[in-house]
Amino acid sequence: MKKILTAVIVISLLAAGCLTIFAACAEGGDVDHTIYFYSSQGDALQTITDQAIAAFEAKYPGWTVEHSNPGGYDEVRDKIRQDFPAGTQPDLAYCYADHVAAYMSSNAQYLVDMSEFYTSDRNFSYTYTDGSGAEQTVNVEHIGFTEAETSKFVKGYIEEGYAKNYADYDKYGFSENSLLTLPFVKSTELMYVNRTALMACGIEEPAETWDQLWKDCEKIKAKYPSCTPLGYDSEANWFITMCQQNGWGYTSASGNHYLFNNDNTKVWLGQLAEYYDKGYITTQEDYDAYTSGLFVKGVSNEDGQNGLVYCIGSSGGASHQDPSGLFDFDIVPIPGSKQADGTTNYSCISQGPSLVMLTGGNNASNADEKKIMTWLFVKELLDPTFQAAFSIASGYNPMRTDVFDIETYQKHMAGGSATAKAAAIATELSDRFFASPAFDGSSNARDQVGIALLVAMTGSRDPSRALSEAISACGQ
Amino acid sequence: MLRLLAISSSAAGWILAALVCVIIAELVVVLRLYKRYRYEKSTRIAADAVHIDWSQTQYVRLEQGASELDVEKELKRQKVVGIVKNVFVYIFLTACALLAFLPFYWMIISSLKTEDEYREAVPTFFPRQFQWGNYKAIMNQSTSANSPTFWRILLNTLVVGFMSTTIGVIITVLTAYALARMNFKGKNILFAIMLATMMIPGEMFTLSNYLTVSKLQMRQTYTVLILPFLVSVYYIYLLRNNFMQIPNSLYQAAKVDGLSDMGYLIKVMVPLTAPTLISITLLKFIGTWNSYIWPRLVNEQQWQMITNWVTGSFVDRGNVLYGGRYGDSDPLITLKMAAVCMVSLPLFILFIFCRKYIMRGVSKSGTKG
Amino acid sequence: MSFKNKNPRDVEADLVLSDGPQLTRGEKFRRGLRAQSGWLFVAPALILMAVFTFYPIIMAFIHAFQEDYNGANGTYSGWGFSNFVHVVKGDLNRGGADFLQCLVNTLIFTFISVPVSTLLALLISVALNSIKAVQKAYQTILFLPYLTNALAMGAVFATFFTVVGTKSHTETVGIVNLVLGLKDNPINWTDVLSSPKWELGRITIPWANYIVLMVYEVWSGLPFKILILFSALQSINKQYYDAAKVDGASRWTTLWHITAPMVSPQISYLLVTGIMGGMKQYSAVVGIFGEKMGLRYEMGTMVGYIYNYIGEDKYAGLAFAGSLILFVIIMIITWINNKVTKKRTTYR
Repeated sequence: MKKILTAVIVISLLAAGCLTIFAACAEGGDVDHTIYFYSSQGDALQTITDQAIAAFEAKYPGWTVEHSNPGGYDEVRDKIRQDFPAGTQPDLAYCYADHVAAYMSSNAQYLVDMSEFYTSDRNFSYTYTDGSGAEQTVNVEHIGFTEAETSKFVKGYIEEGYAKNYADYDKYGFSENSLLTLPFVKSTELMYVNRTALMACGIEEPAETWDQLWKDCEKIKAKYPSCTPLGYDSEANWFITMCQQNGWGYTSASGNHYLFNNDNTKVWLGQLAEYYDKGYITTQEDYDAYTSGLFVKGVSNEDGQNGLVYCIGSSGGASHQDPSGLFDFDIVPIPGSKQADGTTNYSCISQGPSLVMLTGGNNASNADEKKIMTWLFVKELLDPTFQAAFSIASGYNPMRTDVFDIETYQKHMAGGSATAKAAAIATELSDRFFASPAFDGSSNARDQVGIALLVAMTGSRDPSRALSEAISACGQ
Repeated sequence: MLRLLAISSSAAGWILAALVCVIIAELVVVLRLYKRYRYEKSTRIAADAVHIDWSQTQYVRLEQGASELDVEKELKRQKVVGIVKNVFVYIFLTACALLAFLPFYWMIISSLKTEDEYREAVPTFFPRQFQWGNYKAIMNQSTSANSPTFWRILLNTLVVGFMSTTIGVIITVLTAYALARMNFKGKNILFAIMLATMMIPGEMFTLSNYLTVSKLQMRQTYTVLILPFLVSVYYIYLLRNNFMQIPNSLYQAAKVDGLSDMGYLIKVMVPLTAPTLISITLLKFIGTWNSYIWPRLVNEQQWQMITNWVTGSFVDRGNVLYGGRYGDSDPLITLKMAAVCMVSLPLFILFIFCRKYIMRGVSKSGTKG
Repeated sequence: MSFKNKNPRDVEADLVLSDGPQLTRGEKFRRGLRAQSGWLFVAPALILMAVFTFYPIIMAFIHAFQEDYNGANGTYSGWGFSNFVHVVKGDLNRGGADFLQCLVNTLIFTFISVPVSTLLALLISVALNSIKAVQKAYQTILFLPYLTNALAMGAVFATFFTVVGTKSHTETVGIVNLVLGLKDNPINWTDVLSSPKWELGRITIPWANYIVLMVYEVWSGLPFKILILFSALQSINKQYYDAAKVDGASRWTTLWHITAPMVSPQISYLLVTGIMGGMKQYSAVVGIFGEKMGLRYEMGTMVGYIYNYIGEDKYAGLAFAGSLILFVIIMIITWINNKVTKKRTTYR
């Protein structure tokens, strides 16, 4: 017994010793010269981003980037929210406009206005101590983008980042030209079409308008009773896109924000419920998984092939839509809505991560220097070669057009994979893109209209009740 | 209270009322059981007497009236009834054991299926083809430097588990001893306050503690995973009760022998309560093994624990296993099940070897780590 | 630590305890000092608790009474009870959890699943107690659910109940629907939207979803209860059973008239701890129904409510107020428990 006791005491002393050692080497990184970057990239994409980090660290010795992934987009937001009161916010993070609106309403002082760097021609230099202990100076000339470069950026993407898109921006000390976010990579929604099934139903061309699409659904359903003609992945996107295409009103940046509870949307939801009842539609929540899984099953009257004919999903998810030879498929823009004047509105939503710069994290003693270095890292992420590599790997679209001149990217696009096809089409659509206004509560509004569509479509609520519940869940 | 009811709609009020009724009914049942328990206890002696009486009567009756044959018949009949009853008992127990085991079975076979088989309409109850690749896929980390390997996570968990149990047990012993055996001012109040904190949902601590450890610059370390959970009032309470059971005379004898408090604690108390200490150690380790929310909040992937690894990132493995058919954002449930299996296995092994101590600890403390 | 204000009674107690001879003033004082050395023993625990337990509790109390408390930057507009009013009224919910719904859910889950699993545990323990062969093996298997993680096993349970498919074509109906013979007209047990439910004004009772959760709760609660009851049963004197047998009592009579009363202290202990645990229910709901606990937190629990709002900058006050209410509820249960326990100890 005594021996055991001695052993226990010795072990616990050792353990206590270890603990102090571990405590001592806590946070080994040098916070003043480390840029913290939060993203929601999976392992594979992080490997690509490592290229940009390596390039940055080679160019600017003495500085390192610590890239971490707290989870999905919402987890990144939640993590940063918790970081603010603790003062441990990162220097750079993935964001959606909604997130930035939330950061602004409580912690606007930590948001960095990137317009001061965006086209700045100032020079910058810093010193560091190299391995041998000698002081070295690094000079950086023209920290901003040149005119030639900014002209290659997709204008619509850049526009999204200006403070004027945010409610009450002036209240928080920003001007309308303050640049709060920069696009990283972008995507939109596309319609994936089972061409084989369409031909079998006697439909020559994929539907270009919703009216046409519903007519097609009737034909398809008559031929293949157990299939579902249309799958739409995101309920919320569907609602928001329809509001945009038809001018029904979804949310506004000012006033009481929430416009979506109106007669037009009610009528539309009523129609959806009818179509759902006929078995025309499914959505991600209805099916309990991404509808791409249904699309690639194919359509026939045989068992196990009860898939979709039309599937609307993200251009970034094109690789999941590839049926690998089971049937011919095609990728087209999403249908548009006929207007009163006879034209068709083809608006489609703009998605994908942007980058937001934050300051004041980890009590860095050199906040201004760190801001500039973070900016230089942003430039590295927007570098055309890196953008090409990242776009190829992820299926997203680059934020600048000169990527299309890069050979590897051209080769990828010519390769004919679903990802390449989708990227090519999405690129052509950039003038149809829209983004909805961001304010504190806009992400909740998004969730709520998605739920409203779901409950109205499946018939568990009548449209007006679904919408009024959504409105009240928005705090109105 | 009135205002509360007025605010809720009338229907909600009805439900609340119904609930109150259920609660009252349950209380009544408990009280009645309790009363009967008291009654039975008080009549225990009487019952014993009656019992003796009965057997004597039976004995007398048997001797007087019945022939040998009748006794044998009766015994046989009783045996048959006993066997039938036992069969029912075994059937019932087997059914319960099967139901208890079913989720584990499902987890294990799912981890060995291919994703296609898993997603079939009518589930198969045995994998048609064993897909050991699932385990390989989760063990083979992708090339990214940011994502930790399984071994790194295992090391984290073992280091944290080892240190938090050893230091935690030392603190528990010291505190429990002081509370059980030593007299100092404010002891009872201190103990009462400590017990009161057990009633507070731990979720209330999480956010403030996050701010604290951030301010102390403790994030991305093992320390942050260990420190907040070193003190467990449950175990202090448990061990204190155990210490109290040791007769006071031992303490006085030790004092006479010139042992200090510390000496008495180490030389007498600890050896006497060793089984409880082992139970506490094991339960604390299981608790660390299962910790999830806190590590995710305070540490980056490299410094997280094994349960975080399970809920984490196997989305990229679809490509490795199925060559593009399941892509980057498709969570493969078979892989997740494989991970859950791998994490559960060590616990089961631990349980098989230390069954006695774990069960004893659980039955005394009633907590999960 | 202040020795100046030492309580004379403590010194006396020490004297009585040590049975020593009459002491001089100086010795008394030194003894008094030594008597306080207990503080040294509790110091490590006390320091850690001060930082990681007491401080957060005090902060929670403070924030609960700060009006318009903003968790993201720590600002507030004044002091008062408005957080509690908002919690009860639910007028700040903004698509998040509703306290009344969470309260009702938690109470229903707890007050149904805890008695059911206790009763089942009693039956199993009695059965376990009456056999000899392979008793240990059964005991081990029945204990296994105790070692699992609610998040992981919740997901496994969800697959038993979930229906996958579209309106036109159902892909899989889940084992439970198959077993219940609902293959053609399956109930989607884990889906708040399409599963059967009752709607009563502000509150929804998705009873089909409740069943899923309760099945899980019973399953995961059984091991502990069996353990407690089984060890209690083993310590019951066999004579009672022999007496009952001779008396010709049936198994049911024996169970109700002998076994249940004999283990009633354990039963009431299990009910109380079960109810206290049930009040803190959270991770199983997330494991089965996802982070949103349904569509709009229809399956929310009290702890789920706290987690929901603690990360919402402007509404963090709701979380703190909610946690105080939960604290009070648990305190009441504990108080009732203590009353019952005290009665028992006086009897003994």
